[in-house]
Amino acid sequence: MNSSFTLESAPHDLGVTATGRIMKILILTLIPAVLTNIFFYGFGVLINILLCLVSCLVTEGILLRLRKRHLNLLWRDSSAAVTAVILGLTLPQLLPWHLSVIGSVFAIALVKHAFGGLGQNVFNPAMAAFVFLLISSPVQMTSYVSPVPGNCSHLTISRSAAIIFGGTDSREQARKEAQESILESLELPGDRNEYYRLADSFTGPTFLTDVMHERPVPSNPDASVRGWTEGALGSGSLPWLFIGHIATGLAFLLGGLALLALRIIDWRIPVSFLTVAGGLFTVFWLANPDAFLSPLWHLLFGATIFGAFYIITDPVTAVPKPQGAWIFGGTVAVLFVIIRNLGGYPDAMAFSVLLGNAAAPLISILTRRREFGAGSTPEVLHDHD
Amino acid sequence: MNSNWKNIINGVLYSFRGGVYPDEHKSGTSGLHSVSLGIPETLVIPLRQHSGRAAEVLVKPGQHVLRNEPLTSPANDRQVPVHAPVSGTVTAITEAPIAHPGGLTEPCIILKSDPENSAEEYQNPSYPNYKEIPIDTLLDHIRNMGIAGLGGAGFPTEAKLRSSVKAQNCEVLIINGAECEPYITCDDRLMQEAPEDILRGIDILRYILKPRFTVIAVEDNKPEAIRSLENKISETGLKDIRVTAIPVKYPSGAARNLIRIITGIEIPYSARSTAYGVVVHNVSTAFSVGEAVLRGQPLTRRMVTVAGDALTSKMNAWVYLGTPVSYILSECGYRPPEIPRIIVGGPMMGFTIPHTQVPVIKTVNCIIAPDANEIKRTKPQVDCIRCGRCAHACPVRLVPYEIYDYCVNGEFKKASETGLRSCIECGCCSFVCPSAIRIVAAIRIARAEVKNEKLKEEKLKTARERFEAKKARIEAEEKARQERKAAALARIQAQKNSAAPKPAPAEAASPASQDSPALSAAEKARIAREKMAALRARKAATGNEAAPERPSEAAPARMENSASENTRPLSAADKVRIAREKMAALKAKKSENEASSGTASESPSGNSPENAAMAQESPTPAPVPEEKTASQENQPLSQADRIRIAKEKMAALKAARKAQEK
Repeated sequence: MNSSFTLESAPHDLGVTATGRIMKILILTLIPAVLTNIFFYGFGVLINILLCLVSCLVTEGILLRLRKRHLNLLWRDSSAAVTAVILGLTLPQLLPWHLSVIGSVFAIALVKHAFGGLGQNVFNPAMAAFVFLLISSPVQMTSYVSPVPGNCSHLTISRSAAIIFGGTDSREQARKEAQESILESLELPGDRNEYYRLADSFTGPTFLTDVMHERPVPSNPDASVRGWTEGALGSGSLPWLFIGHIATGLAFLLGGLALLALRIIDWRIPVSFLTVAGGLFTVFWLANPDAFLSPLWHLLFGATIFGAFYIITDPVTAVPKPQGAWIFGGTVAVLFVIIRNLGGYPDAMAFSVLLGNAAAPLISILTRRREFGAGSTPEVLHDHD
Repeated sequence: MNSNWKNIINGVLYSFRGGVYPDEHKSGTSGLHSVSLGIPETLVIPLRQHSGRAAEVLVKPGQHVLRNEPLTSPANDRQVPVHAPVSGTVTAITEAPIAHPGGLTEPCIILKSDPENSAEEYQNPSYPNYKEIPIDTLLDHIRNMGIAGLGGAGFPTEAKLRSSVKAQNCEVLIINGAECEPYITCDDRLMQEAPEDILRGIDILRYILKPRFTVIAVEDNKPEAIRSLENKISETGLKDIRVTAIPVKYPSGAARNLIRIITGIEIPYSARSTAYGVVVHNVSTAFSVGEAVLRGQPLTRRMVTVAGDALTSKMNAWVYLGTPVSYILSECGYRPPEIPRIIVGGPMMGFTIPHTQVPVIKTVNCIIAPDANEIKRTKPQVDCIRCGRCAHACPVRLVPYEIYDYCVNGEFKKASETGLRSCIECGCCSFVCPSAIRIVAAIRIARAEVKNEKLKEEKLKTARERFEAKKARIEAEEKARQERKAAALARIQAQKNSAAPKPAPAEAASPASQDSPALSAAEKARIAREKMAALRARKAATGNEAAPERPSEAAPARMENSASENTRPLSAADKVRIAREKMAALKAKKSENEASSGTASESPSGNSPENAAMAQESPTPAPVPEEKTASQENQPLSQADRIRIAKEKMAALKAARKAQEK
């Protein structure tokens, strides 16, 4: 009989879930959102994602090599790809290419590997890169495409590529073509000029930025968020905006629910985040509807849904303990509401996530699980009556 | 009646957090009737087959033993004996490899079975009328029959029972038939095939423990077993007992988790379940208790599940304890795959063995011979992403990724603080880990390290204590010596004063004016002696080898004089002092100069210490002793002479010591 048998430590049976599989499923669940984004915002989204993907993977490869790790980790854990896709989805759709590349390199090299690679980074790489770009080139980073149904046929691959990669001349040329195409396709009801006022070009500040500027301030005490949004709605030009946002929001929600169903992410984090954020937005809104947007709109616009399911749930930078997950989601939500309603940045997801990340280790240490049997008393069964 | 009790009696279940659902792989063997395996030619019977120490060996190599004959005999609580499963001859008692992942060896009795297994067997007592037998006798009997927990841990059954009997507080007896590990079906088969025997065993346990209620807990993937037990219970009309089907979940068969499921009570890992009034025994243990008490059958055989796709026939086999795994595998038609693995125990908590020449013992419930792709081999490991799956799966509600971090970074103290000791090594965390991190392995290593550290610390502590004790002893001795010395000096001084109270004022001048009329002859002699001794000492210290020039040469002449003059009898106190001084001199001499220890035996003459001192001082002891002996022959020594000699000895020794110190 064979005398040398293989030895391995228990347990011998292992579950099917693998880290690489988690990451790949995460990317797959984003497909509906990517498609919706392309439909409403043009092919710039796809180009961004691919651009980030390439630069993230190349950076990851180089750094794995430098850290003397096996290159097959690129595929095996696929974590760089997830960062790339998330970053690609959050960046402005027609961002000049070099910014996307710089952001990707920053995310992988500095935010992730400089801290020890996968599992060791303190901050969410995609969000850190986003904030880095937002602070270093605020103009480009706040210029988003306004959602228009069928934008994929206006901002085609070639036009988007020309805007992203091209020199000044070709960029202007492509922009002009795209804008004309959009305006022709839109059979705008009511006053066209009103539309131009709101979106003088097809890119510009987002809805949330506009809202931010409509807050009543000492210099302009008569401003009213409610009045402005109602006016915008009444003009009939905004529904497109809403449809675009609703559609992408639903696409992200769909993917997020799939993640929950597949148990890829911890349900506690999005639930606690959305509950706390929704509650706080309501409180603000009820207190002063002139100054603050209604919670529904808040949940719809910006990266709220996307962030709740895909960004703050990043296990590395969140708190994986059950209790800690509740606290972490709530913490990020509070920061999110405060920055969005009172801060100087229109969308608060990136900042609140980073601040939450910084707090995560502390939350993790402070939340201890109650060990099995801790605090139980022996009297239970001896008490017969 | 509180709600816990109601739920226990009505079979309302609680649940525990965590746990996993691995593939069951039970269908292959759960439907097959058990098979009795034959008797191998040689059985290897480890002395220790339970958790605790081995018992004392009763047999000698070459001795013939009968079936069921005890081979060892227990001396204290945690010892459990082993018995001869078959009749045969003890060929050796030696270290042999046991079923252990490290291929460890332990003392074993090698038994060569008789070619014809005779029907004759050793008669152990049996108690079919156990209800009339004192509980203490039954408990002793259970121990003597070698019963240990058959669920896997091998805890001595008698010890568990006795602690509960002593506390007299057993409220609920849980019979564990959960069998939650994949592959294993031996308890399932036993419940299907021998429900009556199991119930008899349970009845004995109930007689011993006197619980208020008994629950037989079986996972609901064993409907046949549940049915057969329930039928038997209604047939026999047993009261206060129920079979409770519990949902499949690993590890619901772990004692504390099972207690939680049945009673709703969480017993901390630091506490004993008896304190909570709950006792858990495995169904197989209950079965063997029945066999032992009713038939006097010691634990020499057990049912083992032999499964895995590398076997042509899977089975539940009755195996004699001591049967080599290789024998079982060949009986089951083992075809080794490319990378062969043999798992002893289940796939979650079992272990792989390096070779198959190891015996089946009381705690072996399963042997798995998996095919190449049957049980997932180690997945490639990637970095931990702190997804928290391990924490959600942990039935002890620990945070394994945290403990793992501490373990691999050597922070064992922090690991202990976060629950290293409470871990039951069920393997759930490793099972769910998407990064394929061997968390349990790391925890085991850390535990071993912690244990080692503790041992080391204890060793260090005892060493330190010993050292301190030695130091204290030496110091005390030294102090006592100093005190004696001071006392002796004081005495000498006192003696001096009392011996020569009048000439005392002149004493200071005496060296200068030796012929002073005030001095008596005896006094003069004493002074001279002292001077001489001092001189000699000084010379010895400076290493002067000119022995003939020594003043001691002159001593005999003067001694004669003084001896005649100084004949006054010595007081008793003086005698004691002299004796003591002599003893001290002797002792000192012995310790200081072992080279010339031969002379010590001549001591009756009283000069040997001096001889020894001289021998040490100079290579030429020279004529001194000879002269001395000559003078000694001439006339017997007076007491005064003895004093003198002793004093000289002392002085010489002191000088010698000084010289040595230099």
